[in-house]
Amino acid sequence: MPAIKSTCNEFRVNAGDAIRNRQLQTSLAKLGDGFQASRAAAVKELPEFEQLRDEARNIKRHVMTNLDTYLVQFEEKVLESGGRVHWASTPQQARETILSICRGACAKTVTKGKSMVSEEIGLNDFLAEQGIEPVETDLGEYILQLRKEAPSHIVAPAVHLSQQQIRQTFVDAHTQFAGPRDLSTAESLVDEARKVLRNRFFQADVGITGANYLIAETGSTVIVTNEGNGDLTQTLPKVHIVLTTIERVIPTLRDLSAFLRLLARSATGQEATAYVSLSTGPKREQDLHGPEEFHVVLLDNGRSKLLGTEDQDVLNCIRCGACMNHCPVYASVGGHAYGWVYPGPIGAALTPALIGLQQSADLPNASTFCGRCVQVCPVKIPLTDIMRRWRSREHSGKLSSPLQRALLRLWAVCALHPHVYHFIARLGVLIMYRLGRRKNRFRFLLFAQAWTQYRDFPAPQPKTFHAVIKKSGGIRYE
Amino acid sequence: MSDARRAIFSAISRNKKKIAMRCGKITHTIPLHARPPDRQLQKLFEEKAIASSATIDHIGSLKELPDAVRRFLCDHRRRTAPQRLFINHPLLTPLDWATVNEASVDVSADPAFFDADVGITCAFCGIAETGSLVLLSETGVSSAAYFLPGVLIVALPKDQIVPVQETAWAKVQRAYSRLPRTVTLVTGPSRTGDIEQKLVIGAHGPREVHMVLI
Repeated sequence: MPAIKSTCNEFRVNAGDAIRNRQLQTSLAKLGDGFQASRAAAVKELPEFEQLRDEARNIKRHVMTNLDTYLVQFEEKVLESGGRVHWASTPQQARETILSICRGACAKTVTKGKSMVSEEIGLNDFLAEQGIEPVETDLGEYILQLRKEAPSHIVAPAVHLSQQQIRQTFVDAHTQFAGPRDLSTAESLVDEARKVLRNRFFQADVGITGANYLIAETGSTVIVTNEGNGDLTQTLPKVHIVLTTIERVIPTLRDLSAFLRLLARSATGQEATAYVSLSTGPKREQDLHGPEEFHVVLLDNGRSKLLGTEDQDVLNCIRCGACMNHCPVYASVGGHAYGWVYPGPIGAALTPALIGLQQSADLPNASTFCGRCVQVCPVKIPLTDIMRRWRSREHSGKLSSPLQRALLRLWAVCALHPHVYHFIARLGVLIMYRLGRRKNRFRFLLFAQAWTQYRDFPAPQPKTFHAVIKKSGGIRYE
Repeated sequence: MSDARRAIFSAISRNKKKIAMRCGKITHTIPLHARPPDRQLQKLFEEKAIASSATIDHIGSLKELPDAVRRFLCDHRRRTAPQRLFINHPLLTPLDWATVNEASVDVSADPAFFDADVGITCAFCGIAETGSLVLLSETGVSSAAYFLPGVLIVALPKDQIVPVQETAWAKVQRAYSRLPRTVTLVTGPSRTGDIEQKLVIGAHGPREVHMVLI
């Protein structure tokens, strides 16, 4: 089913490689806590933020219980405004639909606004195979297209690259600018991309964008952007295709405002992004510009199966990226290690549902369960609970290694029998105390090389905490 | 693809009520700071607009707009002198643009001019909460010219500043039985942070957004 090949099952190897990749680590270090700090500042300015999170979660849950009603209403309104709605259960159906629309428009080039769903269905490679040239216009996505790489973050796709790498990419790709030119600043790189892409906007026969929201009340699709590339993509070509998934629908324009107050603050710490654009149908007769055809392609790809399950809340996601911006695992390994379209905690919670747990059983393990993702999620998705359930399904479905399962069973016996647990703990610390008494630390420890490879392991005190407390007659609260 | 439609809807109706997620009463909070007394609306709008890197000028009546545009374009701090200005609104075409012409700027309302260096248009309304402009695709207006020019100048009558998005949506819906093809909220100039998270103003859209309040 997955349109792009996943390497989720190689997560451990990928993560190891990522940690040893110096360039990536430099980029991740530069990312630092920038997003966290700007989000925190924006949230502080809005005392009602917590209340808005609750409200947004409620709206999403209401939508999910009435998803069919709102989708029907959305479809009716799109038709009324002269657009068309196409339904696709699978990535393949979505690709075929888009291809036939492009063929209908005799399209040679297609400009694209940023869309993770398009990554999900592997649209670019497919269109290229069919002789239609896709051109990414979001700066980050454009850089990645030139480098033939996948996005490593859902909001900041090229976050893993250094400015130096981007400069080199432009020098190699933009052969039309002969001779040396100053590309030493971020501004000069942006300027050059703007120049190159400007022509592509005018050439394109079809523009494809995603949608952050679909509004049932009006039949509008909404994109939330900063660069303005999405707007040029959906305004200049004669055909506009919106590719998105069924759970994006919300009831009214009022609801849109509720989400917009959360989205930009959670994503980049902005109060509002530079652009929020609502598209309703094709251009009207008297409008000077705008597409003559308006198509909305709605993909399911396993989402309807999540409805009515205990993991349903994962469908509430508004793709702000706050969970990955606050994730210690993401900060250490970056987005590519996750091996499929959606990285970070949301990826770990969503990917098994979309491509199957067998293909991605390691992702839910890629978490320390510190819970920061849950704290910052604007729609309060219980990400750690969902990941924990995937872990338990991995265990009961015998997808984990026999050794791991045996050890877990052993652990369960200990945890259920305090006497056994205390006995083993007492014995363990005593032995370790005796062995490590001289230096008070271990350079090497059996079964713990992963630790001792990088730092010494401290030797414990001779008695367990429990034993000490018991001897002193319990804890006195004074 | 009607098969896909059937499959999706049958899956939804089969699954959606298997377990009921607790869903509190739907409420809709409008932040307090976005509900200032009427006389402070304009102040909030200007503060937020400036925070988004837009610039603001004031004029007494629409007639003074060409002068304000000339003032803005002749500012010595400008990197490069603009050559062509596209008048992108039927309300603005009758104004006397001769003074701007004198400043060696080629002014035209011809649709072929839509990718000029400077675009000038009228906003449908302004939103105080975020300092945003609401721009519509309308009769005789190029919505592409909201994004193509390096400089976007927007005229906005002060009495068209509303407190929040919700008021703006209601206003658009009162004016149009069906929403225009595009309704765009513009908050400051176009920007990107895609290169090492460095904020660069002026990605694909305007590098400058200049508001002229009437």
